[in-house]
Amino acid sequence: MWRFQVTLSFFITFVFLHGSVAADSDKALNDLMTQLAQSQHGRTRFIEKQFIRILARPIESSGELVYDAPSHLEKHTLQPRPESIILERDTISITHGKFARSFSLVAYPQVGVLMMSIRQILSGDLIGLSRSFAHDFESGIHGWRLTLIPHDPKVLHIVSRIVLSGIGSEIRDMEFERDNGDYSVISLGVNKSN
Amino acid sequence: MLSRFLSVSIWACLIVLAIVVAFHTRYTADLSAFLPATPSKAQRLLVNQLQEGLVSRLILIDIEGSDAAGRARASNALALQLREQAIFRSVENGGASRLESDRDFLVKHRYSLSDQVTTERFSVAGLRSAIAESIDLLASPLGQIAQEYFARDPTGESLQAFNQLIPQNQPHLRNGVWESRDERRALLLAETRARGSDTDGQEQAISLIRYEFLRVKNHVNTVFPLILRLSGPGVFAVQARNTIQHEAIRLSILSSSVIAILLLIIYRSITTLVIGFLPVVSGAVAGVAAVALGFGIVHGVTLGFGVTLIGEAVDYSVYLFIQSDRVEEHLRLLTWKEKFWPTVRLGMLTSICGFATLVPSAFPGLAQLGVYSIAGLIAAGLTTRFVLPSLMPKTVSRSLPIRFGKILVRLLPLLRTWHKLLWLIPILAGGVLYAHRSQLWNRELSALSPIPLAAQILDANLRSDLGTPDVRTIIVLSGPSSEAVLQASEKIVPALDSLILERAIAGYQAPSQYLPSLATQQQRRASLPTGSALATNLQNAVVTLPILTTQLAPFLRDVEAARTAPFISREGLEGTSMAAGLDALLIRNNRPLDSWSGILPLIAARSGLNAYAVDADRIRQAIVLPKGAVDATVLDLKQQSDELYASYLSDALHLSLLGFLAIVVLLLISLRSLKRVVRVIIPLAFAVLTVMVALNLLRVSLTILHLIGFLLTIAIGSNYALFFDREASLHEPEKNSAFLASLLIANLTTVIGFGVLAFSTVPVLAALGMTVAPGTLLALLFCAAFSESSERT
Repeated sequence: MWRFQVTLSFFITFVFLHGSVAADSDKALNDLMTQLAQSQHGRTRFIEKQFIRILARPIESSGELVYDAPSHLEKHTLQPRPESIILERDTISITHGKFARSFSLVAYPQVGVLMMSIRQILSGDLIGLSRSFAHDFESGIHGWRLTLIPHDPKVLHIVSRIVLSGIGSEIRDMEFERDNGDYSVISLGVNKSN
Repeated sequence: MLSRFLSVSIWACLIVLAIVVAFHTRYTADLSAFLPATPSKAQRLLVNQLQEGLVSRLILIDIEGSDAAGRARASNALALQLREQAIFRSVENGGASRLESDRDFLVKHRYSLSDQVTTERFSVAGLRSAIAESIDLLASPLGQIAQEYFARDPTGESLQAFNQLIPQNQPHLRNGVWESRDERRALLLAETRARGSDTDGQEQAISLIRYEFLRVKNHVNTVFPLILRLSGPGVFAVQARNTIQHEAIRLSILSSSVIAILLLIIYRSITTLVIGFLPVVSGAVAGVAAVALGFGIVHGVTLGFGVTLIGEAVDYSVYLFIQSDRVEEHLRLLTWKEKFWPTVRLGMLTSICGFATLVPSAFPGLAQLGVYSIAGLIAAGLTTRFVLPSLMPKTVSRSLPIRFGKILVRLLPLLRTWHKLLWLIPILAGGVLYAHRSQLWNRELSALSPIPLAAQILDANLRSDLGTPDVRTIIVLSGPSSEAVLQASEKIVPALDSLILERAIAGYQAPSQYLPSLATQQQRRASLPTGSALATNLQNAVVTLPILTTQLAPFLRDVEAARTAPFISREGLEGTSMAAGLDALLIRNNRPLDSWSGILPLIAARSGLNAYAVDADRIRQAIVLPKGAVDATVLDLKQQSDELYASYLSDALHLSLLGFLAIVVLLLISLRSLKRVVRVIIPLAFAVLTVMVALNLLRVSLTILHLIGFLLTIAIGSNYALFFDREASLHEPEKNSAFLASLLIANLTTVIGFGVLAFSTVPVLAALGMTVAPGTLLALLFCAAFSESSERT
């Protein structure tokens, strides 16, 4: 009986809360995206940890992310070796050691899907985001958490899940998962946007 | 009677023969008219490049209109269609297809292709640093791609091969295809199998592109209609050939009809008109036949020049018809033979003297003009002398010319009062020409280009958008075998790499990038350790790395396989884009038989000291090859062709001056009076000077065709001067109003013939027109002004 009651109360609480949580989260996501959309220019430091299955240890790197609304995103890795990746509209330019080339995202989606996703989030375009991803947003007093799953099967093969978390209008962590189990976490520093 | 019949039959037979010859001749519109018959080594290489080099085979395709996505779809569809056509070696549009198909080849042959393959690379330390680097790559944006190959290729040789082979200066990409920098046009680059000088082959390729584009346009949905534009040397050659042919025909029809109408008004008889044109036709046919027999091939320029013969040859019959005033036939012939023909003959010989000097020119284009003019003038003269008198109607209406002439007789004294004023011409002209002496002559070959400026600008824009192919400086390696040339190419490449670091050049291509020499392939293979040695080294190398050897088993297998795989040859490249790349840079020559050439195009730096122009001397110093079977020549194509044109121009200038001297000598011999010679020469010289100054003030810088125009002015004007001279010496000037009328009518036909040319869109023809039309008019006026009146003599 007690068990039942507990279950019931859980059930009632759940049903009751779920509606309001859903409405709240939609509104919170909307607010977050609106705030993100207002930021025209951003520059922040990052630390990236990549967990690659065939490697015994994670690879750690750090650098700087630069964003100019609506379509320009740069990721400059400074440690352990300089590397840069610049996304401008549908062209991605990569400099890695002696390698320096530009690719079309249309022809080589595997090269720039991550960058493209970051840009889409930073631009605060909720409609565009909904078109590309199934999303789930949770928020609480400790911050928020946005889970994105790509619709496009081609993209899904490259990144199976993106989890963003942050506080207020700030993104703190971005986690990218591949279907083969590899994943990477990008932690963003204090946002010095202006 | 018999002799008359004989002369007409001989003439008819010769004309038929000439027509047969003209019909069996090859006509060409390529650049070879402007290339010397006995070129230097550098010139021969230049000619080779212009006629069959990679640059000459490229067609730049530009799709405009609609939106970016529509253009991209059209670009992909067109590229797909054209790639299936055997007449194209390659069609690039920035799409992925090429990389996809080449990637397998690069991965498969990475141990032969990568220049990092050395013994040290497979030592413990070498493996360690190479694998560490690849691990970094896994973490980079390229990681997704790198991961696919990591187990097979942990030292990253595939990426190295990719870096070596695929050019870095790729054009701007959008929607997966190349796009112009102004983002309004999609760009494609097609390479034809046909040589650039094969105008028919180029024309076929161009029509195919246009045809496929129309089909694509109908199948691809776009917001707005698409427009296709083509450019490139082959496109220009086809355009030029069509324009010259089209214009030469159109303009000769136009000018002959205007001249015909004028003469019809004067003669009032169609028969007289037709007969009057016989010398022109004879001259044109004889000219072409003579060039065909002498050279075996007729240049388009020569043919275009044929139009101009109308100007002089039609004068002959005008002189005959209007000046011979006797009704009785034998008397008429007699006066023509004794009174007029010697003057016409001297005028003809004068013209021939002028043109004869062009014949020994080293440039086939000039030599052909000389031969054409001489043969044409002789034929026209002989026809006038021997055939026309027998054919001409008994009565030629001369009432109009005589009425006309009477007005001229009254005007003549007026002109004479000005003649002192004309002495100002040399003084003023001297001043103007001296002040502008630096801009007097155009010394660039492009001045002769029959390509409209708009097309040249489009071409320059496309080239700058596409980045690579505006190759101006090349290194040419010549050697006895492909292996020798490839080895030489490999020796030069490190020097070029350091030139890139010094920013002397932005990049280069080399045959050895596509196909390493056999020696290098063997050397690379020898540096691959045996299976057990590699396994041991690998084991020791990965100790400090976050990776286990068990994961790298495919690597050991692949290296072992590479140790026994066949070496790569040209045939092995078949089916990849590297095959086309290599064929453009490694060429088997027919002369000398079985020799090989390697071409290394250099790309100019975009900024700095050597921006947009490669310093050829600096390259020469940098690429010293050891003395051996292969030698290297650094060739600046633009400089070479401009030098070539400059020598062409100075050749023509010297020859023309020589021709002028020959004319003076001829006149001295036949007139036997220095005073008379001076009187003949001065009005002509003044006319040429005046036109020169006028063109200079109009900011037209003179080309070789203007020079030819001056020669023609003197040739035609000498007839006027000689007639005036004869009239003065016979002491019966003004009385002969028919004489003055014939000169003016002859001059009008010339001015019409060349005046029409002046409006041609082909610069070559326009230059002739704007020089000769005003030149001959002035020559006539000056001749009249300087003529002596009978009262004074």
